[in-house]
Amino acid sequence: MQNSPSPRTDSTVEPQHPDRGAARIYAAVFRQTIPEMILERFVQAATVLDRRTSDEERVLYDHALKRIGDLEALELAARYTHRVPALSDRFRLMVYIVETDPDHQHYYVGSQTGFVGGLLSMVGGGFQTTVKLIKGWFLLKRLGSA
Amino acid sequence: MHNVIVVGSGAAGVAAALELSQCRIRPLVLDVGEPAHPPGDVHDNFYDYKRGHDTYEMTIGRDLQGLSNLLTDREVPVKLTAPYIDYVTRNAHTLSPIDEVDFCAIQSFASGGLANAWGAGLYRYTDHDLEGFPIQPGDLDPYFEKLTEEIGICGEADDLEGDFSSTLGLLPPLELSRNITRFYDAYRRRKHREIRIGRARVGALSGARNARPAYAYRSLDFFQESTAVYSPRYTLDRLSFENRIEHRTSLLVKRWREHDGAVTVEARDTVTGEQCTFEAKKLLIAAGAINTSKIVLQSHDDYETVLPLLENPALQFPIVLPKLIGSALDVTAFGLVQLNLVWDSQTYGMRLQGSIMDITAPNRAEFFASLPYSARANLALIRTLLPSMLVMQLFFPASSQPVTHISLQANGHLRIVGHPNTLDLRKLGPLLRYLRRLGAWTFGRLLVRVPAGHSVHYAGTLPMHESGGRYRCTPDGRLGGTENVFIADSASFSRLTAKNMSFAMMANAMRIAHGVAKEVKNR
Repeated sequence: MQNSPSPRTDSTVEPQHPDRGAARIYAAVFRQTIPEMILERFVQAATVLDRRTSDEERVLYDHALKRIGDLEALELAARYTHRVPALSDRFRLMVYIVETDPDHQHYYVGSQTGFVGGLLSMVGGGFQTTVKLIKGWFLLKRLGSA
Repeated sequence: MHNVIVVGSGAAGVAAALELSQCRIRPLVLDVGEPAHPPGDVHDNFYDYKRGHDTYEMTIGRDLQGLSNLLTDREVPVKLTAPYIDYVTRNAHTLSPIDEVDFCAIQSFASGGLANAWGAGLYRYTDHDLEGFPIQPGDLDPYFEKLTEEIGICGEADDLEGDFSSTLGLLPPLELSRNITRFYDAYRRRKHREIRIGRARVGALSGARNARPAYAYRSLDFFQESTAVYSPRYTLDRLSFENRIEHRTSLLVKRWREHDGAVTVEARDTVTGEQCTFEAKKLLIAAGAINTSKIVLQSHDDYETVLPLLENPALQFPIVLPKLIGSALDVTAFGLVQLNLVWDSQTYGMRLQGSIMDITAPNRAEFFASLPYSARANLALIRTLLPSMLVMQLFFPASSQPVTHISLQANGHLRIVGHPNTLDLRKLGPLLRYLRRLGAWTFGRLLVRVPAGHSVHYAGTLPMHESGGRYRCTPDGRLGGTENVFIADSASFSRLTAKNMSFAMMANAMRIAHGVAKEVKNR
């Protein structure tokens, strides 16, 4: 794995159950408890994703689930630095799976906010992203030294 | 003995079979013929449907096909990942393994071939496109006209008429989406001396025709087949139903042998594994440039020769119309190409062609990882920014990148050695500046070099030359060193301009088939 922080590969961290990963990632993006159907589908797909995840990446991912509170911030920093791809891939996976659910459509297709509303949303998102990115870099460091 | 065998049932093979049947020759068409899925049953607009129905099986699928770019190491164009269309590339790498270096080869063994998933952009080749070919536009024109009638192509006379040639027989154009209308209006107010924009010529019906319905603007383009958008499979099925061709499937053609003025074709039954042979007076190979080359190399037992493989390199980038930020998503947009752009670029020193599309058809999640914000803010961008966005795919001539090479290895695998897409993005400056003058934003971070192989416009492995020669074709499509073997697909193209070559490939296949029909009748 390139450019990844180096956790102890003899880590005592227990592999995290796939359900826990699903619940944490869903909560990070949607701020709710994960519905059963989405959980099942995520776990099924994540099992396939696991097969192409190296042991080292897997350990990092398990560390992240166990020790990092703000997974959204960590994922953002990880995406920009190409670290912990297992985490970024699982965020993408969650967003794909959730889109298939009729009750979640409002997350993907919004009602008309108008130009000013849209612009404010983008500016707000940019501010939120900056804060998350700074936090994420610290979390990445913490993860690397765990 | 058959009069003519056609190998392959993609766009070129079907066009050749159509012309043969019109010349009163009933060809035997051989292919693997992976069957298409039954037609879908969604009749609502997809976005309305999604609000009331679970779309997991439709967009991701039981076998997780819709996630294949995430779950496997092999990335393919997004449209090919949809569950309804997985048959197009099903078993392709098992049936014909390829060892690839810096290249992602997309192959199809389905009836109708890769055209089942095409963008249906159909453009006549002109003098400019045929430079270096030993044929003239006039040689193809009669076949362009026949195909225009067979397919049903939309378009109109506009600034691209000089680039796309005659509008004869075109159907009225499809309706433009809100975003595209706004963009096109801006172009018409501020034209550019190097850049021309006009309506795409698309094989989709703006009105019902020959039992096919008009295009219905339901945003289902990526997830359910619409017979309003042409596939060669429709012509294949009709010719087969009318008994004007004999279509045999589950056959993977391996090689041919010429003897006593005839050709014996060897194939493997993909169900039973048995070897089969078929005999004909003439053989037309139209298995797609990659597999046509494989059949030719196998027939020569040649594990040494390295052939050139031409492909259109491409760039892709978003165009944001800022005044539409925060607007509602236009859910009635035609999901394939709506406008084309032709740029006589001084910076690149060549003519480039762009396809401008709305982005309503793909899953919204498809854009998530490309956006720069945090996860929740990216979802907000999907809601507020995507409704104001278009995408441009800009195609380059094959000559703008080093040539890719293809050869056959002793283990029977093809080997394709390509090159990473290294198109110089700095030379895009004049185009990006012009787009800004039209009131559009573009973002350097979101500019993507399309991976080598993904344009799926493959050609030129057995190019046409006036004098023919080994691993070349004569202008009538005859493969050098043979009497009765003809190359009917884009393998015989002498060069590849930035223009999508599908329509010219089909017309050329008909031209070659016409010559073959004459030879058969004169024999």
